[in-house]
Amino acid sequence: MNQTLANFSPLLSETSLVQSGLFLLGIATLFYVLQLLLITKTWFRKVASVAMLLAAIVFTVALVERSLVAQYVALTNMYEALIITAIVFIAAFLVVEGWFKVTTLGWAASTFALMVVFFAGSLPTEINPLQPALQSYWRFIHVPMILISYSLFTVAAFSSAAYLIVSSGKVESALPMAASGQDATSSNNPNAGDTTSMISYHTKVNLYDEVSYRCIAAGVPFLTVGIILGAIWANEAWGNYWSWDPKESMSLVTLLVYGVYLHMRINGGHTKKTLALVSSLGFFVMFITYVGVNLWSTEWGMGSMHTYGKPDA
Amino acid sequence: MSSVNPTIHKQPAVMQFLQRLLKLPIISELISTFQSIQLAIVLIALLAVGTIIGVRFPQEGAVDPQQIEKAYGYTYQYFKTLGFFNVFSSFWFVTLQVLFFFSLLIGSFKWLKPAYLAATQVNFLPVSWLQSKLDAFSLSQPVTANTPEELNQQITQLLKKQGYKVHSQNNSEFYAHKGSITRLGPAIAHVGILLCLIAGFYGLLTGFKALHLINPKEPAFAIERSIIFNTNMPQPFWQGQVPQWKVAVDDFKIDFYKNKPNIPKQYYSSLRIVDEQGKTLAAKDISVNHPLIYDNVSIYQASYQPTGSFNVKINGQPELLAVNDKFNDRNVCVKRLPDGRSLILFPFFAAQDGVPEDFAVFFVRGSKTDVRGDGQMPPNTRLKPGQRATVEGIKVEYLGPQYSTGLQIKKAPEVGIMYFSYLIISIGAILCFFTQRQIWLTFRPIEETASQSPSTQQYEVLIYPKTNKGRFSFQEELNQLQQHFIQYFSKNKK
Repeated sequence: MNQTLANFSPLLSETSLVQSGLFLLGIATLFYVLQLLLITKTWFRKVASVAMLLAAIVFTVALVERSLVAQYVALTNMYEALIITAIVFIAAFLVVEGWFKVTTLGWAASTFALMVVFFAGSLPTEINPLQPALQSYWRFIHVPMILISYSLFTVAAFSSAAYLIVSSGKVESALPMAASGQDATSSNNPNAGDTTSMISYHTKVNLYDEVSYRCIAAGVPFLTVGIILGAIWANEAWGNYWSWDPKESMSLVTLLVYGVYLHMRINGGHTKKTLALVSSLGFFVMFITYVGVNLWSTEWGMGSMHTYGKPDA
Repeated sequence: MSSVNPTIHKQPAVMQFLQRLLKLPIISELISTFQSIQLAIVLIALLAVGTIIGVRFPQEGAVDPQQIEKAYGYTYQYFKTLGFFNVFSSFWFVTLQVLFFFSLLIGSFKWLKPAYLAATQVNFLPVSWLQSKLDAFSLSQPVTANTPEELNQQITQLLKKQGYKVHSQNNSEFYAHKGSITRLGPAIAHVGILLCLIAGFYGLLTGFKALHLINPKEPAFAIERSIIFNTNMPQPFWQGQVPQWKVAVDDFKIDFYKNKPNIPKQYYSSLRIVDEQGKTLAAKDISVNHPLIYDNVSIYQASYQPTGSFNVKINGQPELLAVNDKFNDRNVCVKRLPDGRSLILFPFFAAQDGVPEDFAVFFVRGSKTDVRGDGQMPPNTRLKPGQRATVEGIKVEYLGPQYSTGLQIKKAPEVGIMYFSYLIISIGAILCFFTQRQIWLTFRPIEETASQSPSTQQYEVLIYPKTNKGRFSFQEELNQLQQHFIQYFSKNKK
């Protein structure tokens, strides 16, 4: 019999741990909402953040327990991927919250994490043996990279949504357009690119815009490297870097959408509202890539080599 | 007297031709169009839309065209004409890729130099210009120093402490920057993507891909067009070479999980590379994720498939029984025995028949009865692979289904360049995340305080900050910098 955490205490079984994590996320959501309603009570947010952090730790322990039972690192199907997504998302959000001192997105983040774990729980949780293609160290490199990028894009989408809500009804001017030649990238012209005044910039609405931008700017390298590592893995496992498999194709689409966002940002000539909309579109495409392809690729008439996490699999 | 040869300084004819070509109005117009970021945005968006179409519509390479035709009915022809069932090889998608390539190529050339300058150029700005900027601010308190040189040193020291590279001129003008290398990020990523596309094209020109399903112990096969072979490039343009050696498959086996006998744990093919005389050049047992690489050609374990034949031992004699009859509309193998009776093998597969594991049912028919008999299953024996039993006096050992192994054979001469391009793209993408922070700083003596002390002078410090992203954290850094300045100079004052 395997040595597992549940041998020490039933409280350390995977189910108990996931339930405890859900409870902590519920606490976090409650305190974030209270903080939103009673703005002066900043300690509510601190309690909520700690509860989120504890939830992430508890989910991590749950996955460690699952890995001990399965005797391989539990990173193979959609249930496991979603639990890891919740962990990485919480971590990404807490970093952003601490870094940018965003005080109003917590309730949405904790609710989202709750939904992710609930959805994961609705999928088959059975531990299945590892398929031959997954028996590779690339799994531990490729998958986390992608999940980190998805988490950052999700935080970006929340921030973009907040931007759209807060700025609704306000007329915006477009970011300065990169004129011909060197303006957008050259330091010869300090007016180049997005030169909104540093003084007038520091408003809450711009904070949302900046959080979005920084999360996307951080997510794109992770997604790029993740896709590249996936291509190298595919080349080693199947002899093909790229097969236009639905998952591969949609991850490329996700990267292209965020590529459009970054080019629009650099080039200027677009309002921050437009950029927030592109960020939201990116999140939608990312959702299709992550969840939609696994659930619907067969209905679309195409099987995917990446649907290890298909619920009926 | 020496004479100067006038042709020495003359440019080569090719260069002259290129220069003339670039000056043609239509060419310069084209270059200007492809330099546009707006065009790049449109092309990226169109590529995204094209890819979505390729995901949403079944693709002929992955799905049987007849199935697609059946599913789409009368709309099939319309979508087929639009290339929706073969998007990634369609004329319009390839055209988009070519346009994207030129946009990248010309755009990269355009942005490379400015990006390099942005990352490396030391850029002082006139004081009058700084004073006119809205974002420029003065330190809340004047600073005191004995000489401008001393102040210069102190400012340089403080900025360096914050991680800035500091340049100064005329003793009172500063340009400090950090993270400037990030400005090279987009250009580096673009060069990487270009290299990736070039590597892909080189691979199309010289590489090949073959997928071959073969039964173990069959004669060694050559990699040629008689097997499914794809150079991805019409033959006249293809510059690659097909290997002269052959591949022999000596054995194929599947390991199943003990607790889940219908799930393969791993599958292996024992391969040998042999020359025309049959001499073994290399050998390896390959499995998923562990290919054989020989002569720059990789052979991957891609798949497996039951051949429809089954290995059995009948009274100790090995036999390979092939499907040759039907029982209740199911395929069965019938082996005529020397005594006139027939041994029937009725196979069941976990993957197809909803049973927990593979097994076969054996039964015997008399010499005067055909396989179907009365349609009822006679007394029978059920055997899993590796089990043996005596069936109606016949010793039967069931060894299991015979599988053919699916091998992917690939030559990718571009792999080195491709991986290098991946590295470049990754470096570029990572660099893009960081921020460039620039500070222009100048100081000037405050005239009315000049006479207060003969040895010291008060100065007003004017700062103009700029960043390409991360304004909130930059503002925090500026606040800290201000505090440092004030603390430092008040300490000095004491």
